[in-house]
Amino acid sequence: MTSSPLDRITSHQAVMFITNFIFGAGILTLPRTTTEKIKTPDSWIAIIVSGVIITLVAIIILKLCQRYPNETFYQFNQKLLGKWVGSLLSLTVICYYIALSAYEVRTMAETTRLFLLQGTPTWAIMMPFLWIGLYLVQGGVNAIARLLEIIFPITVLFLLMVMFLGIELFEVDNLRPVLGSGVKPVLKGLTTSSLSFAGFEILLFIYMFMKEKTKVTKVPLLGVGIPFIFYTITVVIVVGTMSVDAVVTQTWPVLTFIRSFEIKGLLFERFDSLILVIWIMQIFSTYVIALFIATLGLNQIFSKNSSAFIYSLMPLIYLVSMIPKNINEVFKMSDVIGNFALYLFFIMPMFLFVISKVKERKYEKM
Amino acid sequence: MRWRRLNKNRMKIEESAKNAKQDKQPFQESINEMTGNLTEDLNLIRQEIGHNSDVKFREFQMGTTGIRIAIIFIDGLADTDVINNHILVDLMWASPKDTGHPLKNSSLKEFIKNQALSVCGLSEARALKDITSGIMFGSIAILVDGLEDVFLAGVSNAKTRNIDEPPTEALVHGPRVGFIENLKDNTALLRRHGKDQNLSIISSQVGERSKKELVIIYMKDIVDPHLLEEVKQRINKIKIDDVHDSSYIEQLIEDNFLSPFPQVQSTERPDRVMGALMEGRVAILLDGSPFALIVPVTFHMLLQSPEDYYERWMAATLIRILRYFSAFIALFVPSLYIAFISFHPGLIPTKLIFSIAATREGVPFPPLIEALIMEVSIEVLREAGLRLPKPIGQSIGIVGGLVIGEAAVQAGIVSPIMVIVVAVTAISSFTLPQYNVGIALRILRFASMLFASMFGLYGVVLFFLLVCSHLVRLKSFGIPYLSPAVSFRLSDWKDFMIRVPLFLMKRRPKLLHPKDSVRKR
Amino acid sequence: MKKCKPILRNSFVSILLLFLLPGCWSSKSIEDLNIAVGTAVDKSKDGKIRSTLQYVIPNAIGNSNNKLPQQKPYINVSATGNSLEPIGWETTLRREGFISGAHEKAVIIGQNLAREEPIREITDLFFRDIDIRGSTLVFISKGAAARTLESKEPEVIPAIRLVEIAEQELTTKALRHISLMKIWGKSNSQTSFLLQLIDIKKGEIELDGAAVIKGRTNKMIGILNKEEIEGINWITGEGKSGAVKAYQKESDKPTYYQIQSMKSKIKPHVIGGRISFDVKIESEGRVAEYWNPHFKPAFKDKTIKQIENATEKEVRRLVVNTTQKMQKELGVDVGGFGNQLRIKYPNVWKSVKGNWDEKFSELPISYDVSITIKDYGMIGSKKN
Repeated sequence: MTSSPLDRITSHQAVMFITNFIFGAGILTLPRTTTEKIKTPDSWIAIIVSGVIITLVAIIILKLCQRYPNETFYQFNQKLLGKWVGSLLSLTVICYYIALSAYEVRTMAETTRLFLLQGTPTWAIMMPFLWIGLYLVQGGVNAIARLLEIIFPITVLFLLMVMFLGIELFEVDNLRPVLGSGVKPVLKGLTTSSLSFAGFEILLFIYMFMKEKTKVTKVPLLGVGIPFIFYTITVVIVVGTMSVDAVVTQTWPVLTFIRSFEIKGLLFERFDSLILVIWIMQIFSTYVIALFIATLGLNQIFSKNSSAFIYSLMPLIYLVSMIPKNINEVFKMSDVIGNFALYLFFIMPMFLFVISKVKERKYEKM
Repeated sequence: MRWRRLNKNRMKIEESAKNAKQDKQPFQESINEMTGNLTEDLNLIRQEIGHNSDVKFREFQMGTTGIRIAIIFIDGLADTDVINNHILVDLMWASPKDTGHPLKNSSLKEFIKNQALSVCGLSEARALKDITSGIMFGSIAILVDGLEDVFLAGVSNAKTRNIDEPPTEALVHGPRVGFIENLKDNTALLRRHGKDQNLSIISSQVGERSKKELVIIYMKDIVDPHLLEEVKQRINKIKIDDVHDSSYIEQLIEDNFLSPFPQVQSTERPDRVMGALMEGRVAILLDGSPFALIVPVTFHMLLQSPEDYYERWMAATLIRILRYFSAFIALFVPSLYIAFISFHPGLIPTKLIFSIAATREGVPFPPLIEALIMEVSIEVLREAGLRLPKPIGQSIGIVGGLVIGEAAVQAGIVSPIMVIVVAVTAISSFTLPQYNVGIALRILRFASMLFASMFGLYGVVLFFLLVCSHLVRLKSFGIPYLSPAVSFRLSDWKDFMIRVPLFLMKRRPKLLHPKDSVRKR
Repeated sequence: MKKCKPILRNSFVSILLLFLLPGCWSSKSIEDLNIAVGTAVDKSKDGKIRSTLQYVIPNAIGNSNNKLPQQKPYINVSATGNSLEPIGWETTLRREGFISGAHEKAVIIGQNLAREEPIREITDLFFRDIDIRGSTLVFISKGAAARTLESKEPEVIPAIRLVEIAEQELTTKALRHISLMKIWGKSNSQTSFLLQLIDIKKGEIELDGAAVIKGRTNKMIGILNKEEIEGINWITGEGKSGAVKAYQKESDKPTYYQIQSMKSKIKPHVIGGRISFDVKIESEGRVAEYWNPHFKPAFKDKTIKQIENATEKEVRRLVVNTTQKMQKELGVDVGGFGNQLRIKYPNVWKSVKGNWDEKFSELPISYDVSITIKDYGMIGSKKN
């Protein structure tokens, strides 16, 4: 990996990193996973609430990073926790990211196989995907940032277009009554909806590369805010169109929604192809970022800049992604990873932040 | 292992060659200089280049002094006007003032240089190599009996083309001027087009055997000094026998030779060069080639045409957007067609599927083979059309398209939809204003068809990601290839996909880090 | 990575290229497909299910060069089995090509079958199948469903024509078209709903009322005729256009009010544990036909008021009639009353939703109709 410390990304690109990383495999199943827990049409409220909480956590992470402006998480956590504990933590994080990439690629392969290419074996779908990601990561953080800047507007455009084309099927009644059963169900759904925001933590790793290090509160704000807006819109429209009872039974509710309308006469009558296209690109960006962070970690822990790391991660990711045997196991894997992420990146940054403040006071006293 | 051994051997051979060269040199130097004796010097030169039939020798005496003078020139290359009306006349009629002392050495030189010869381009040389190369370049060598220095006068005045509109870059609106082969004419054209005192033209030479003159052109107060340094360094690194055309230089200084995308832009139009220089780019002109090179290149430059600036902003913006759209079509339509037809019939409107299925009835080949047959035929036709003489070339285009396509459909080899797809693609690729972009897209189109035939729509997406990943890593002289689209700077977008009215274009694009960023308007 | 060892790189690339050899796995050329546009499901004589798939023959449509004259643009292939999936595979024994369900437009279920099996199960394949879309329309047919897929007119594909007719929604006598998407939620939550009913008249299909599907059993229990459908449309406010009788006495010759827009609001009231409903119906339109022998000029406001009143009376008659049928005869709520109760009084809804259909039959519903005539076309009076 050739990302030298001199590679710089702009704040705008940093926002792209966060947004694209959060937008991942979760969005296709999001309406179902949240509504399953909540059982009322109020899942969109749960999303708004968890969005706000996650933004706050992201800002705390930003403050933490600002204390160590030229180091990534892998480097400064050793300072805070000591060499061995820090390295152990970093290794855990690296394993998490490897598992995350594997999960993303596998989900993509599953849905592609389901909707686009029924006869193609899974490995054939995954291999080119993995290799193109490898090619991109070799270009360093700048190349990745630029690709994200290309992918993001395409995603936004298509997503909004498709959502609003289907709006004629929307029935407000499906969303009412708002908070009809009280606030308790919403709270039950908070954990699931927060899972869909997993990925806000990468500021820990890319902060070092940013050009402007001060006055960048807008980066986590926008970075979490943009996916949050899209998630809300998606859930509102999908649940509104399909009603709670239908949503909980569908494996991929967003896709079912898109296939339930046809606009006669417009170029493609059917728009699920568009959604799948952007979705593949989004998963690609999530996978590439996860791969990059894992490689960055390996490079920094072993203080070498070897490309052998990336090449060796490839087969590892492939093997991990082939572990789940059917789609239920894939969903289970996502739950495991998601919960792990929650504990790891929710609690740990705050913990580190507190430690760093304590250390600061210690030094001041001395 | 074997590779390593081969490498070692190669290094050994290179070293011995270097030593051999060094051994040769001292021996040669001894006979490299002019002696001053006219007969000896003439013999030296005759030995070097006298065997050429177009090298002419003319001996005469200088005016009243009787000093022998000989001129050597290449017939056809040297300017006979200068010879007849100036050199011969001046020297034959030269009458130095009688001071009593015979003219010798320095005073002789002084007299000839300052008083006799009425020629402007005058230089002196002593080494045989310089003299012979000067003669070969078209200068006239003047050997004076008693002087060790030899004068080289004038520049070549070989026959050249008239200045005309370049055939490959014809525009509807704009100056009908294009570069020609002669370097001096080209730089003159440029100076006329851009009457700016900051226009700097630095010359250098390339080619080990036949040294051709090359100039680097830039705006002294705008260009980024790092860029200039980089260009100079890369040109200095060129070690090749002979540079036939500026495209050799393009291939030797580009960043990534494996990329299908051009990283250096070549153009025949001085207005394009001037536009680029004003933005802070650097241009390179080679003697003997009408194509100027512009570096660095970014993606959007390949889809621009100077016409965009000559039309009003609304037309220019819409036509630009049309061009981007055509580029997209030229690249993706055949692959999308293959993807939808072979893999995802559910994604096309119902009525369309009926028409396509009906037309494909009876076609023996699967869509990929069909598409390949048509695409390859179009490529063959295109290449053939380039070689044929003009009048036949036009008709082959029409004949090829209509008749062969129609016949193929009637015979049931291809479906009419395929013909339409391929025709639309071909026409879209002609809207691109530059030839090398067209080639890049043609290559990529085949790759995308391959991806589509293996993985359908997923393959097209993969291909798109692959091309984007490649473009995103590509740099042209340190500038990322995809600026200003990516590395989002809103101000640079004023000239990217749209073109805002001229009065709004106040600053030069930041992506080139110009020194002076305000256009003086 | 420019300095990568050439051998490693070359072997990498060659291995990559090896993968191109197997070629395309999932590609199915379009001309090998049997494009199914409609499915008719019937009960067959031996208690099994008979399903008929309607395939399109693309050659016989449009202006293609290979068009064979006098050929029907479709072909129906049927087989029997105990559910839809094995039947599908049976048909591949008889006909070349893959079945492509991606353009499935209509599913028609025979009345006999609908009364016996839950709708949800008959349509399970259509929901589960990856290719078939949620926008496919569902119908019930009065007679044998397979007959609805036949047509004597040339160049007509029955399934497509059926869908086009259903999507017109030009008159209040027809129900809004129902797609798979719409009934999925209702089937799962045990709500009663309606499906369009088709009849064959003179060999061609016609929309003729609706079939009532009871929530609890998810089976067909009855029929609403065209007039009752009018009532339903007025109650739900989903009519788009159509006409209403606007005269009282037979001696006043026909007068018709043309609907341009209609709105309906169902308001539930829960007072002391007792539920009741108020329905407010509003509509705007114009006078379309006015045959009155004692022609009173429309320019006069009084005449307009009379026509409005007559229309209101008629609308009220329609809705009350339908409500009667819903509550007394069929015992189901297909007008969306339960939904409104759920929204306004979610707690009350929780306690009654278990046996809503039965409860609904006892509840009082009152109607308030208001019609506004905006204009009367080109003729305002008759010169005597």
